[in-house]
Amino acid sequence: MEVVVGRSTRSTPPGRKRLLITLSVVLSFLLGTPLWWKSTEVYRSPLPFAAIETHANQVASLALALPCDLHVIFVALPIPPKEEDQQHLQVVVDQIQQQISIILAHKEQFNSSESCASGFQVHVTLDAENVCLRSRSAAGDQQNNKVAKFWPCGLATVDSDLQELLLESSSDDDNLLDEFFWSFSKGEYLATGGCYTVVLFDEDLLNIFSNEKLGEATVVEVGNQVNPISKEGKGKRRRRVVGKYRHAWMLGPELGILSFGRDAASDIADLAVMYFSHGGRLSGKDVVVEDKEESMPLSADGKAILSFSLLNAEPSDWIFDWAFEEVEQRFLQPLVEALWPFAHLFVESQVLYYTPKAVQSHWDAALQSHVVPFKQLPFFVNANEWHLDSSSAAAGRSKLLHFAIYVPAAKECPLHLQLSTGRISQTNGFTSPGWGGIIVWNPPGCLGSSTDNSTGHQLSTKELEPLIGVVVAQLRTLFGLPPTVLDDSKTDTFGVPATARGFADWEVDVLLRRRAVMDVHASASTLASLSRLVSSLPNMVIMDEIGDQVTSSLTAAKAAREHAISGAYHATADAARKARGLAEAAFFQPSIMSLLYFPAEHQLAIYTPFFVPVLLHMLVAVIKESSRYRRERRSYLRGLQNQD
Amino acid sequence: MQSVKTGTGSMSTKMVTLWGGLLLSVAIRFLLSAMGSASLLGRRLEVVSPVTSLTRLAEGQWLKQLGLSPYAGSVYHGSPLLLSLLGPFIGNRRDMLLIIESERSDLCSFWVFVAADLIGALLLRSMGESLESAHIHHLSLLGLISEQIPTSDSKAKSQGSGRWGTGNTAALFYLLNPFTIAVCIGGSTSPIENMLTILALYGAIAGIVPLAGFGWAMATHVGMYPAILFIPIACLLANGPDGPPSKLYKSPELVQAVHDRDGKCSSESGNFHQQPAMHVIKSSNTNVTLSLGAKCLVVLKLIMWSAISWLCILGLCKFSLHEHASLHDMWSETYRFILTVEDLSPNLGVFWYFFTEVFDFFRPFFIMVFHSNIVFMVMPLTIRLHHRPVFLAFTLTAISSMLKSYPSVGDAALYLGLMCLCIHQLSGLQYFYLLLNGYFFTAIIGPVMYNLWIWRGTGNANFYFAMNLVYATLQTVLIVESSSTIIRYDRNLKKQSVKRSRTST
Repeated sequence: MEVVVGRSTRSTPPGRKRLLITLSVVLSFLLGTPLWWKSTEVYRSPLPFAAIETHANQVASLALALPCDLHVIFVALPIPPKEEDQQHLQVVVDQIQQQISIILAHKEQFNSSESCASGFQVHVTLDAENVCLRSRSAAGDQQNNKVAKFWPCGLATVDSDLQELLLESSSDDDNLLDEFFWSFSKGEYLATGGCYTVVLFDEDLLNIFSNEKLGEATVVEVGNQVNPISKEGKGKRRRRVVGKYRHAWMLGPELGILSFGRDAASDIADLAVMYFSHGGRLSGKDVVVEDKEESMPLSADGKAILSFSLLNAEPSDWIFDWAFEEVEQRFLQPLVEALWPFAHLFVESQVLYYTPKAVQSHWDAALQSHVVPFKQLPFFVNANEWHLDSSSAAAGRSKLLHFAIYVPAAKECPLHLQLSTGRISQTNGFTSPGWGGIIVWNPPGCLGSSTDNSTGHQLSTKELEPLIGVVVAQLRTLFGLPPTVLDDSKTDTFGVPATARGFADWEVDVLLRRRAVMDVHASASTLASLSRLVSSLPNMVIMDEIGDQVTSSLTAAKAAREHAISGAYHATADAARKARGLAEAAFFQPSIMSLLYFPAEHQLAIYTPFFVPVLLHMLVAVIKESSRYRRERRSYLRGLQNQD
Repeated sequence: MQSVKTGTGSMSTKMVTLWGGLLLSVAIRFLLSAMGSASLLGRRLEVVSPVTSLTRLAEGQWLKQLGLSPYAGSVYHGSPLLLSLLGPFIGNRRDMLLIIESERSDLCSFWVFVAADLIGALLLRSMGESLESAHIHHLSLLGLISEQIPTSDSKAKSQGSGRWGTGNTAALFYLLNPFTIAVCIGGSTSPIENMLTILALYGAIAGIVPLAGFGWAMATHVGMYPAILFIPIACLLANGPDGPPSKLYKSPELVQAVHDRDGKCSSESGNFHQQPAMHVIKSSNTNVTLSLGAKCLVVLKLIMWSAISWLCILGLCKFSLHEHASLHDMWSETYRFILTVEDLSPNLGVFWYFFTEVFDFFRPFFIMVFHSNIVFMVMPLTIRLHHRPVFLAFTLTAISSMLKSYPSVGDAALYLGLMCLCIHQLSGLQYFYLLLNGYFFTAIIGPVMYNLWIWRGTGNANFYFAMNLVYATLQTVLIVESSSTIIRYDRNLKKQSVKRSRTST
């Protein structure tokens, strides 16, 4: 305290109180400094930048590809075993291999992501009654226990059911034959992918079969029925049927082991490439929809929710309800299970009321119905009044696919959608890529005077079945497959529709390959983006969690590669999905999202408002007090000297 | 320089005024409570904070009755002892927000809080009396006033004298303060918290170490912020009540003057200034140098009693929580809740607005900065004001009430009550008019702005937060001004005493 003012000397030593007070404030700031350092430390978990780059380079240079095997089986009658048979089989293998590479070379527009690694590995088996001869490649694989996956021999020796089925070539029987092949090969095929079989029945064999049959049953009509195939089939008409599992069969000329020619080989190669490798979308025409590649309607972690909505446009006219659990159990569960290897689908349903569509229909007297023209379809969905987002789906990053079944109001009851050609849509529905599908369902008897059913009406499973069929076709379209397996009359190719599951096994394989390749690509690009982002923002906190996710993602991607080489389809898809999911999770980690737009200048804005005034005052006080103390002390010392 | 107010009437009228004031305050509380203003005030964020809300306490009590942890659901953030103490009275407070209330239990809880306020006021009164006698004692020691009564028994006499003392003023001011009334009937545990804080200070001023230790431990347990009052309490016990800086008695001029005087008029009786001068030297000796060991002993005793009280409190808490919750739950729901500012709903403080805006990354750092604002002012203030422990207690209480995470007007009631104890020293307070009107202004405009923001929707959070800033500024001005007034007062005291001793020589 200033005791004496205006004197050059003082008799007492200056008080240290003011200095002490100032220093105590400084001290508390000094004590706070390590805490500040510690609490605002930018923690950066070390990311494996080199590994990410290697992974990205690997993906860029050599895309992941799953191998495929094509197994061609000649069904033949007992033949005397000869020495050169083995060589002959090898010739057949080479022929088919050559044809496949020709087709692949000629069509660059193939979607490379879904094709098999280096075409097909071809194996040939001669399945005669007395001998089972396999080509060298198949026999060579035998040592690796890989042949266990292959088709067993003995097809020619089984009972006459097969013969009967073969001879009656209607499409109903194709299904039965397909089931027969499935049960015949069952156990060898379970839970594998990429292993396809083509069974060849030479027409001579069929002739023998039919002759046997004629001899046994003496039914002339049967023989007459068969004859057209065998006789007219001379004009190179081979009937090709693709089953709903992983096999196909061909009936026709030149399919015997001896009569096998370049033409037949080309046919087989075509079948394998068009269907088993590329999902049958190219058959008949060379139009490729390339942009389908990116449009698989799944979230990053391979999940999607199928949200079914029954829309009652005008409940005052009529109200429809459905027993959806039953529908789900019966129709959707097999489909979900079939797609499970690469897509985890979940099903939800709801019934909505007062959901008018957004476009106006007009009465078409010629068609006797209200019609929505093709051009208007993009505006059909009424985003304002169709509250399609159900609660659980709204959260998170899961993909939502809507399937809306629209029940029109009574005043526009037979409501139909018009195609671009002017005709009425058969399915009365349409899809919107990435969004889902709409089906208009007209209540029965809406033209009549049935105004009494304003009360609730439960849609039966029977009524819903065709609608679900359309939904499945729409789902196939959304996944980039043709709505149904194409029956191509030009090449005489037929498909067996997978009635229960909606997707044939080989189609699932195609989608799985595509998805796995996309997943690995996406994981590589996401991780590369993440590493670029992280290295461009040195202020960003990187939690350990992110580092763990990146490491796991890389490990999963590596596992996917290894599984792909060994041909384990499901394991590859799982690992690839994991790799992508983890990479996305790391990239969209909430802890880094908030710091994405946090430039270094913000540091200034954060610290200045409080610390600049406070520290400035403190600094001024320290300078003032210390100089004051020194001055006072000097004057005191001077006083002491004066006294002396 | 003010002198002690002398009484204007006989002793009986003083007592009548005092007791009349007490009765009046109780009547006001009862009337307001009967009018149902509890339901109105109980929802005001100025009156109840997440830590002190009785509604939350009722929730905790309900959970406890269900056999659950009272902290389940993170609603109740008070002490388990308060739950045991108040729980039975407010068991039916679930329907507090309804107009029809369970009269009995409400009345019970009402009387508990009124009793807490009355006890607090009476303790303030006796504190004021001790302070006043100490004040007079010091003044007479310095020779600034002439006392009719010898200083040895001045304390006993001044209580009985006809003087309208500081204690009465403080007690009545505390009781009739609208903030105290609002908190008392508004359903907040602040009256009990305040009472405990006053109890600790009273124990210290009266020299009852166990009471001081117990009061401090309880207040800290209930409110956390009274923890920093340990220093004024220890100062009070060691140095006695507020007085001028001890350096004053050692200042060479004064000592010189006293010596001169002593030499001049050696042993003549009738000189009023001789005895005080002797006392000056004596007291300066006893207070500063001689009893250093005794001081340490007293502080050690305080620490010991505080520790014992803490152990008892923790044991009781453990017992009160049974198996439902551990003490760890209690810490995390009380102290941790206060320290980490989990509840960002608007209140009177400055935390909520800032922490809704701050980057998550900087949250821990700024929480630390905000809390350390209170802590780092303790040391300088102690160095500066250790000779005036009650005033130091007022300053620290005011600072913590300004910078605490969930303040309410109950905290203001406490520090204004404590401020009243130093009324003699603070009579030179500047900007008194401004401060008084500032309090009125914030009390009226604050709720208006809140209403505009929350209910009308015509304002936004900035409107209300601006009022919080005004309130904080007001408190800052109050603290700064009163501190400088005290320092000025001490300086004046010194000048006057030196002058006095010069003139007398």
